[in-house]
Amino acid sequence: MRIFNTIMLILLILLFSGEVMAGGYNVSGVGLKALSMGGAFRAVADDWSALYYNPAGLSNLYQHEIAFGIDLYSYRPEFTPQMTLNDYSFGYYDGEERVSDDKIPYTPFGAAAFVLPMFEKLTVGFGVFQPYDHDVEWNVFKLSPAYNQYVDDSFDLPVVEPLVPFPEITHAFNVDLIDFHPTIAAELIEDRMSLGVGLSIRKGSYNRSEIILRPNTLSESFSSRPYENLVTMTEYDASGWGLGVNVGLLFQASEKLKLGASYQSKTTIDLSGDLYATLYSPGNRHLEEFADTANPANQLFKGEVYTANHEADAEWVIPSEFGFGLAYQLSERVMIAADFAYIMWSENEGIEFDVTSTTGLTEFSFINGYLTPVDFIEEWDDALRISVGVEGHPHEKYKLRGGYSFEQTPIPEEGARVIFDNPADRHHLSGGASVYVGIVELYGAVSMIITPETTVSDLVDADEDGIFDNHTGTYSDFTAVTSIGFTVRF
Amino acid sequence: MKRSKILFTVLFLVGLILIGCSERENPADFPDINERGFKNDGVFTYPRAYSAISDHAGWQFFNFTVDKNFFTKLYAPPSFTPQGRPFPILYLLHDFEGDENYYFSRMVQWIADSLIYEGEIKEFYIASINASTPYGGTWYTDNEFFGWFETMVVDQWVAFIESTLEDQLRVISERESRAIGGFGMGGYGALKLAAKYPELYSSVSASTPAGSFQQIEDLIPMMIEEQGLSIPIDPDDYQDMDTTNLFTEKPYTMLFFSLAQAFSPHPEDGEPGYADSTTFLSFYGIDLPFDYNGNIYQPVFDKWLAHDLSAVFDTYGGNFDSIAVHLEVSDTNQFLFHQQAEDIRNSMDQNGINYSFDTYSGYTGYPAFNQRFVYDRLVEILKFHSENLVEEM
Repeated sequence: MRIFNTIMLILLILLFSGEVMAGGYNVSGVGLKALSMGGAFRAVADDWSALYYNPAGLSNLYQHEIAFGIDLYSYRPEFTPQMTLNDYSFGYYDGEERVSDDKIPYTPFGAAAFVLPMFEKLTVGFGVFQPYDHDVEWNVFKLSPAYNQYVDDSFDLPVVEPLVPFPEITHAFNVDLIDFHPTIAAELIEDRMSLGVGLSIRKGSYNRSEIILRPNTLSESFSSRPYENLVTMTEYDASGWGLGVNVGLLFQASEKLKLGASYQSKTTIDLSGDLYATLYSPGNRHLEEFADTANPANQLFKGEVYTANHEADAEWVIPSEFGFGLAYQLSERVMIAADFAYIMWSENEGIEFDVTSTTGLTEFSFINGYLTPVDFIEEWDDALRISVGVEGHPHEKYKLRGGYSFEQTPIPEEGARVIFDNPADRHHLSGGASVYVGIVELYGAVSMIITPETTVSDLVDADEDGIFDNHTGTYSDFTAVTSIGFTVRF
Repeated sequence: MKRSKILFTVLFLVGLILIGCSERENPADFPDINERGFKNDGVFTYPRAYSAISDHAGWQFFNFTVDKNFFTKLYAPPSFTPQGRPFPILYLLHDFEGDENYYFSRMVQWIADSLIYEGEIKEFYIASINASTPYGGTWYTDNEFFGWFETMVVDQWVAFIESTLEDQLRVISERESRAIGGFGMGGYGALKLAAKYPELYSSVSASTPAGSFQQIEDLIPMMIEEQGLSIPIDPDDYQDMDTTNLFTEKPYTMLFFSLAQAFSPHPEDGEPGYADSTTFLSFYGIDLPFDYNGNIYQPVFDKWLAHDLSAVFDTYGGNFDSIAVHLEVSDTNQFLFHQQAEDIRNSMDQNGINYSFDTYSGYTGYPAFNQRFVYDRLVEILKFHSENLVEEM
């Protein structure tokens, strides 16, 4: 009882605390039991979600299982841009706290699995789950009226509207990864050691759009501030399939101690889709007329929106992960577990486009130079995740669980971008319970992802291509997850 | 006990959902109207200011001496009405290669509107003029062969804006309400004209001004190289300087030719008062200040130095006693402007001229070359003049 009260008290404090923040590129994890134990499940692996954490765990199942769950994610990121160099600004809402678009505050997440023990030492299973999810939209950039006014020198015009229609969403990132996961597990040594192998047949959709400032290569007369950068947007909407494997080993070291280890290979999703490259050209009649018709500036300063539509392929790498865990039966009613994982985020190098066809180019080569897509290059770091969890069984009808995990951010300050949320180490705190109703076990869980407020100070252009690699400013976020689900055993 | 725990849990889950469901919004970009009563819809008042004087903005301005039309443009502040209250005025002189659009293409109208909206500056007119030539600039200097540009600025232009157009706009036509400023060549012009005509201007600003022609000597090799010539220069090549694509490819040639037009014109060989010299380019009607060996040709160079700002300050430095002066300079050294500005400062100091001084930098990968930061520096320039211009007389 005291454990329950303590967990709920901590959660309530977090719920109403202004310091609670959360977020991240990778909402990962599968299964309510595992999530409510902070993901410390590699050595526990005693329900259908072993498909994901450690396929060897399927061999511990002695009943069929049909399971379903849904996690409701509420992202609450905030970002205060400070995109300046030597106090010069470039069009971002510098110093102004911005929030992401909340029109879809919850992202549903579902998984199901069916486990069928076959023969005496062999178990097969199949699951469909979504190990990664991210959906966020921002408006952190505006076209300055100084960039966007186009006044007829006849002076006959009344007050003009901003010439260039500009999208309200300037940065958006929506990725979904669905994993179809057939798995087989076998006991190698009876009641001691088992091995599992699963296939990750993954369908990924990748939708990302970003305002990208590209250096104006015209002569100084036509590229002085505020026109030293031209405003472009690259939008990629693609999907594709990829294949990976995961393998796991589970070892009953003693009556109370279990050890587990697993490896998930990297998966390369072969994306194919539409790529839109847009140039929001500045409107400045004076500069337009100052340039003769042979000068590209004559076309550039007309204040037009140019968009080219490309068909483009790309590879999206879902990183490999390996780790090990342990589970210890403290008493008949209490089990504790710990997990250590290493995620090879450095394998994810972003998105490099392979354009296969293009339409919508203009007759002006200078303009067309800005209608080429800009690769989304990422240079992330590998990250460590440490999880601990506890499961209590105070009554035969229900169980209580709690967990905590710490996860290093893979995103260095040089690669921080608003679409990836807060580039800070994350703390997950979770708790949950399940109740037995006949052959059905009902689950409920809540968790929060907490990150400290992070300020990224230095604008970076590592490859010196004139395009900023990161978004500087102050990041903070708050993510709450509410989960419900059930498992039927028969 | 059991019921209370269930209630506790349900409340917690509901709380989470409520937090997640609450819609957040970013603040609006612009309030409809601010506390000073200025409407601000993100477009600001630039077209309104112009349309209010649409019959006259962009009119042609005849300079009798050179038989050529000149253009001037005017920014009118938000409270402007043709017969409304009068405003002070700032006359801005453009840089080398500029024209009457120089500041308007760098959005001085938007910057002024923004600063007025924010309450950072007073309302005042801002006027600009075209004082360009095919060689980039006139250096705001009178000469009988290429134009009376000094007279045009201090006499014809002021008279036209403040008298001829008095039915269309009301200017406080007093020196305390009149300022002059400029960038580069315009900075030179502003300092020189303010020094020579202290009865006209009470406030002057010069941003990265050129005007220490002693430094020009160091630019001679660049021009010779730009022309593809080698020392000694063949006399025929010297006479046949290439002036194609000056704006885009030959900035040093253009600089020397414009200075020669302004300070060492030489209309015809044998013309009374002009000694023939090896530096005479008959086709262009100018003398260059260096000989075939790239060495300074003193008789011509002396004409240039007579217009050096240090010479101006030596003669007229005392006139600055009643003028607010602001000098600022980029930390880069394009065209040796930085060194020129240092010379100018030294000369001002030697002549006891009081002035405020500022330097400005660019940012990594984008140094503050001459024209690049006009858009940003105008903010400081307008603030400086706003502090000194008198609204009510």
